[in-house]
Amino acid sequence: MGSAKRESSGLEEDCTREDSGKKQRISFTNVNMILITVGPEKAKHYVHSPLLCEESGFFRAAINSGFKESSEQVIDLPGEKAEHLDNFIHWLYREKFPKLSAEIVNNTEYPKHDNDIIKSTDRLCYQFTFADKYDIPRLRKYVLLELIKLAHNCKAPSASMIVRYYEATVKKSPLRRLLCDWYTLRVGQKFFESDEYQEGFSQSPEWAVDLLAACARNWAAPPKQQVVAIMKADNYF
Amino acid sequence: MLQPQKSREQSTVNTCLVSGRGSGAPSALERHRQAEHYDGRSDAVDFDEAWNILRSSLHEIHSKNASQLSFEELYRHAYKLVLKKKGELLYQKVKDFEEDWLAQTVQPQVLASISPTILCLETEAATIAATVNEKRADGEKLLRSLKGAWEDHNLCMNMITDVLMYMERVYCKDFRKPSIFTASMGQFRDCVLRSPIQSDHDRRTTIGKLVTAVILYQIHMDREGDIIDKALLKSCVYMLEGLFESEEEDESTRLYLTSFEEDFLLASRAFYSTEGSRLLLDADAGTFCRHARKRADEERDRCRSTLSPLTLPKIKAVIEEELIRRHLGDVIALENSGVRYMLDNDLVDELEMIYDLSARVDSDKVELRKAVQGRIKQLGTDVNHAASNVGMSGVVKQALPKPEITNAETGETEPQVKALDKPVNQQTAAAIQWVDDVLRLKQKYDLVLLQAFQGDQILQTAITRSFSDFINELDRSSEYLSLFFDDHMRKGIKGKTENEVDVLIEQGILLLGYIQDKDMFERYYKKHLSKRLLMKRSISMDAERQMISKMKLAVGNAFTTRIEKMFLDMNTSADLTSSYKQYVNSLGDPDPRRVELDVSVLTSTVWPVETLMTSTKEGESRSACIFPAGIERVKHGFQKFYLGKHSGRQLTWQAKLGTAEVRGFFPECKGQKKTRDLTVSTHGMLILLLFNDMGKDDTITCEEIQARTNIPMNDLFRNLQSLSVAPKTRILRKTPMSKDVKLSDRFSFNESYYNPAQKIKVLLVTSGNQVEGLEERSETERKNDDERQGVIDAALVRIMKQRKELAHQKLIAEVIGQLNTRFSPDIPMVKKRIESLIEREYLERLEKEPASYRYLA
Repeated sequence: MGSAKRESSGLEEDCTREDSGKKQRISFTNVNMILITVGPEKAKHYVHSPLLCEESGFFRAAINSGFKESSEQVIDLPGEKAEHLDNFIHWLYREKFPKLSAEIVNNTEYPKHDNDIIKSTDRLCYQFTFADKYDIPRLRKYVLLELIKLAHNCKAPSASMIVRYYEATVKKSPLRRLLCDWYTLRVGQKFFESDEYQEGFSQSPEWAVDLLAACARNWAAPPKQQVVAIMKADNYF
Repeated sequence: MLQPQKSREQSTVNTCLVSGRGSGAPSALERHRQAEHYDGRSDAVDFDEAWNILRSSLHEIHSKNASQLSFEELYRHAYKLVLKKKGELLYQKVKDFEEDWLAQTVQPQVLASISPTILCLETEAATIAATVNEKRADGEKLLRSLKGAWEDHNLCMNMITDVLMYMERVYCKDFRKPSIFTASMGQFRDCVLRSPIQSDHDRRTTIGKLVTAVILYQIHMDREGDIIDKALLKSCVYMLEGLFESEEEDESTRLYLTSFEEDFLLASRAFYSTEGSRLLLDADAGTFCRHARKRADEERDRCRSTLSPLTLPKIKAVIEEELIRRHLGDVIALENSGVRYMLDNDLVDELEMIYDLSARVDSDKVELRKAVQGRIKQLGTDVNHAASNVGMSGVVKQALPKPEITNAETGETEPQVKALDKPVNQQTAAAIQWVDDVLRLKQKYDLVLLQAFQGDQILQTAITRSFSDFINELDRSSEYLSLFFDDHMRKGIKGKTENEVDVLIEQGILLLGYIQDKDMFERYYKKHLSKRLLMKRSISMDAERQMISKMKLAVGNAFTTRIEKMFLDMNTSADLTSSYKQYVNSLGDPDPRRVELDVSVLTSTVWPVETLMTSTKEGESRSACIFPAGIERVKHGFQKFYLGKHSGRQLTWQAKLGTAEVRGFFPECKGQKKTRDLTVSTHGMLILLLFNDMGKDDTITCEEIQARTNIPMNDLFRNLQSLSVAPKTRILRKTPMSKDVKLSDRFSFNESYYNPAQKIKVLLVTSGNQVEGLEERSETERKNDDERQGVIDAALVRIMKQRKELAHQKLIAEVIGQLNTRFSPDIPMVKKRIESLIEREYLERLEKEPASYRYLA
């Protein structure tokens, strides 16, 4: 009820939890199980309530804030897929995601199955937006770290994927920055003139701006082609 | 505000560009995007549609119907609006909604709870007559209504904040907007607390001001002893604490601090100011203290239970200023109940309160200190007066020319002897009484210090100083203290346990610590001690030794060495005597009439021989007494024996200090046994021995006795007095019978002397240690000053020898520093000693500034 108290346990606490990485000791004795139903088919997932509350601001609020969810102890997420929630719950209990059918090996310089990488990247990016939406700071961190591992060895995701995630994130989102940096790492100057990129830039000008900033940040001098590409993408009129 | 709009424009323009440039058919990517639109991630989310849902939900939340709403749905809508860069708009809409709600729904509710009775509280115009109870009830109504509104608002805003969590995290953080919660708190402040009350004419009164007035009124009632709903007040204060002047929520801009606390402190100041003045008029000091302390405790509790702990130091300051500091001086000085009264009546509890209050407002406790010191000084002076009044009257009587008394008739001699003794005895008793009084005073104040003043350092110092002051004000304090010890050593400690003796000695030594002129005390102590030792008057040698060791601890080694030497002399003398006896036995002299001899050899530098011999006046011949042949022979024998052991020493026989045991035969004595064992002074023995050679009725004049014994006049008189005048030991007959002895008086042996006891001690008229007469006293002072001169000389030389050159001021300071433990040197005397040393060429004066001296080797 106290206003001041409420305020201090808002954003700051999430940050500290994210920063320090220290987790409180959770007791699982006599705790509630929260039922999370997903998608139109309402697939059921039971999760320990304290674990959810500790990690996620959204679930914490849903469980405690006096809305329908808190009285029924059921949270319906009609817009999510069971697969995504699985990933989340897997991470919740085991601190990592389940393996893909053929997970890429860290050290392969040239991965054999591009498809796996794309799937892997896609999954991670999606889980980032998931973590972002439901306010799960530690999951966000985990996802970003996993993405950095990928960025180390693998080629950057496709322009269309990037455009998609630009739409699911907001300005200054860490995912956006990471994706742009990844590009400056893996993508040569010639790519900027390809149709795919041209189209991507035009669909998401924010991406173009971010990418330029990333190039300026990561490349010694901005390459001419790149500037030209950006100029083409942008409109002076 | 600017950025999102800009990017939206870009987006639309770009879309045009793409369609203009593209082939017309949507690319694969675009198809993909379109497919996603149906997923609900579309750009085309209709803001109004989502907002309508949210708005009606906000309304439901405020109407306490939240449990029907799906949190996930509301969250999802808000999330999407933010994701689609509608955060700004959403924020503004929510704010507008809240403002509307507060102004249209909450404010009227609160206003409705305001009764006209409490309006006058704020304006202080008692236009409406209302009873206290009515005012309280109406005030509580307003507070309760406000509390309800505030709590509802908080609850709802917490829920709304949860719903808008994503907006808070992304939009507010990014654009540095205050959280919607903070913003709505500000709205509550502006729309509810700061909204004017319509019925008020000058329109300046707001709900907030009225609330302050109501709270202050309730607190006033609480102070007056009425019962109020503290929890309700606390809730309202809590609300004020939770609200800030601005959205930065700076600690110092809490509404509690900015719009309540000051009024509260002002009201409190006024309240306690009047109360303090009234109390001072009506109540006694104890009541005042009790009340002040109670008020202080009350306010502390109030800060905890009703107001904010933030106010504690401030209200404390108000109470201390208005109730305590302003009146404490007057309270302490109150005639019939102030500190003096408390001290005199041992009101420890009240003193403790006074101390407590003083400590609150003044770490130096000046007023209390002054009062206590003044009282001690006063009592001390009284004690001093009591002692010196008796002393003075005694001295005056003693100093009267003796012939006046001797004029009395013969029959009345006995009481007159007493009359002569009395003043001196009285005086001695007064001296001991003085020490007892001082000790009692000391004990009392120690107790006060411990129980009431919590052993406070400052007060302890002050008390000590006061004691020291008045003790040293009485110039005879050293003598009195020594007499006190003497009295106890001779009589007082009889039948006391070791612990009791311990305590006694310790108390005495405590007093010794106060005495400045310790050399004076040493002088007297030695004098009294020597009499105790020589006349074997001391009850317990253990106690004497204990005393010395305690003194050593208390005032230092140098002080006691000479006294210890006296004990040493006594021990060696005992050894010497026994070895002399062995020697005599070994000579095999069988003479049964031979005189037994006990000798105490006293080192003349250690023992106060001069003091012991004071009865020889200046100029009087110091020639030794004439001993009868038998005695003289023994004396010679010992002298020979002693000098054989220690050659080069000189023995001077002090007949005055000795005692002798003689057996007298009284032919006309009643009873079977005609002999009595008499213990007399050596002088007395000499006198008695004269009568051995005389016939039954022969008489001898005093003058003749003097001629034949050469006993100093003074001692002779006293001995004759005790042998012929004192009723129980009238071994000689004196004619004419009178109290005083004159040269022409005649003496004869009293054959009919009767005393039932076998052993009789003939006491000298003034054998015990007693207060000195004025003459004696000035003599002692003179001697002491002489000794001091020597001590100062020694100190000066010691310092100069080390320093070679030293400025005058520094030299004086060092001398005082060195001698302080013994006595406080008189500056003129030190200057004189410097002059004298210059004359004697130990020092020379240097011609420079500041004035300095040089040591001459």
